[in-house]
Amino acid sequence: MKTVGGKVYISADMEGVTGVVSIDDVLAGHLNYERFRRLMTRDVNAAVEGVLEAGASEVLVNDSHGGMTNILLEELHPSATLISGVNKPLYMMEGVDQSFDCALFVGYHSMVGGRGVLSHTFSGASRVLLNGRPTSEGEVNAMIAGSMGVPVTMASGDQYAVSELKEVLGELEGAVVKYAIDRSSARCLHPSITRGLIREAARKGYMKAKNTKPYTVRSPVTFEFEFLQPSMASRAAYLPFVEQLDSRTVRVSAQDPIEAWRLFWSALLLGRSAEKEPY
Amino acid sequence: MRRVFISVDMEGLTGVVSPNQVLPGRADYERFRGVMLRETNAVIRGAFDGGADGVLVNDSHDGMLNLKIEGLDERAELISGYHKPLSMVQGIDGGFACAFFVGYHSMASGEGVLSHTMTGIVSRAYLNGVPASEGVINAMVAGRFGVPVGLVAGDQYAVSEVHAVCPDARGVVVKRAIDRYSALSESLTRVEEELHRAAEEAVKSAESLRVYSPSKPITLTVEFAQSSLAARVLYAPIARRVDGRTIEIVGDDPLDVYMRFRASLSLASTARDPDYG
Repeated sequence: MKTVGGKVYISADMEGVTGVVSIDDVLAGHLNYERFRRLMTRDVNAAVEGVLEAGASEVLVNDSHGGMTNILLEELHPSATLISGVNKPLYMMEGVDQSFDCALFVGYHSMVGGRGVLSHTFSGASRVLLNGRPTSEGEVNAMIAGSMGVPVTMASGDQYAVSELKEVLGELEGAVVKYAIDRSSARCLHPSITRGLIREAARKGYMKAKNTKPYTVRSPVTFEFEFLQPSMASRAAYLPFVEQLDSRTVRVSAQDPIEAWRLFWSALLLGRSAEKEPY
Repeated sequence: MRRVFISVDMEGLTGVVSPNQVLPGRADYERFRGVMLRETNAVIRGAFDGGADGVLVNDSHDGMLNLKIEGLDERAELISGYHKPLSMVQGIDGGFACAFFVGYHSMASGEGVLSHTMTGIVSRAYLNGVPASEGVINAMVAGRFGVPVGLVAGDQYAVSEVHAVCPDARGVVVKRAIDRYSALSESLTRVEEELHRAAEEAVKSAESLRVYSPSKPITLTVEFAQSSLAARVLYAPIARRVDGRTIEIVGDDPLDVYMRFRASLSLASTARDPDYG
């Protein structure tokens, strides 16, 4: 039985952070990156404050963007511990397990093809379907948490990131920190405002943890995804469990959600290794 | 049917001792493209003189864009370019009397010139416990289609590694490695003569060449330079971990083992760090 005083898992991405609208905001070394890694840390801190206020005592934050060394540890809320760095098998959900009361998604973005700020679903694919429906990183990650009995109860990002997740998860506290106009523009709320929105959503999200069902998907779990280029799909098909459906589309399937994630993720990574940039 | 399959790599050509001779754009690359073409044409002439009725050449080095088709013996067909599932043995099938490996080099961590196995991230590879060079692995794939190796050319290590599993293959030692970056090389004219003769003999005796077929289950063990590379391979359920940086691929079908090996190398490369490897 989960009780007050428990643990919260936070997966923090960057495209849905307060004020972010451009690639230059989220790529290490680019013009505005240093500013936005600080704002990312502040969005995460707001969520930590919210769950602590609601009675949680332990927070694990997983830096889930790019090289995954974005969050400033020295500015992170002292009650949180931080997973940073790459080569994590569960990637944006590394470290999640049955011991958490709930998981929160901070700085999330909408799915590939969508109108949200910097929309994508992992990279390398122009379309990703989970059990036949277009999916987002948020839904895939909610499935991973759900398979361990952990419900996702709060998300922050633009209006599309939040509404997409609400649509699949039902119960979810959303903190809309900006309103996308286009994939690279948004009407942004001030950090002093978003801090309150995130903190409040996180607080309510933690309160709801006990009464929220973990997200489950039907078995077998099937990922069907379209690569940007045919050579990427052919490369992915080196793997014996990958079924190639057409020149750019492949499919993997497994009974267990974590196993399906592993098949999907290894096939996507393998395909990406065949990407040739100029063409 | 007497078609001959020829896979041509570059590090094992006569005269080659330095990366500057085999990497596109580097100082001596154009010269050694010429050498590559001459060694290739020598075995093509030998193959036809031995009774071959067709030759398929597969450019098997780096981006696989090295052989200039305008200089190739006009009786041969050429596979060039990258993204080939069977890589250095793309195009192989049951329709060939034998396969030739030209310009081949020795295995990763070996003493031969520019030794490696497929990519720099592999520090060692073993096939059923025996050190596995590209030649040995490609011989296994050719063998899967019933095609024996008739000729192997390279430095003394490259040749002896393939000989260990294909004892009937004609070996042409075009140079003797002193170190990974130095060798005593035969003249190109002399090498052309030897390659021509060996190719001719190989085709004439193709029926008696033994096909390499490793005992089953086949175990391909790969040690990577870093543990994170091995960990990345294991995202896909295609191998098991032997130790921190070593994986093992086990199977009965050489082609299945080979494809999982290819997938492993590409997957591992996605975990490589530009500074720390």
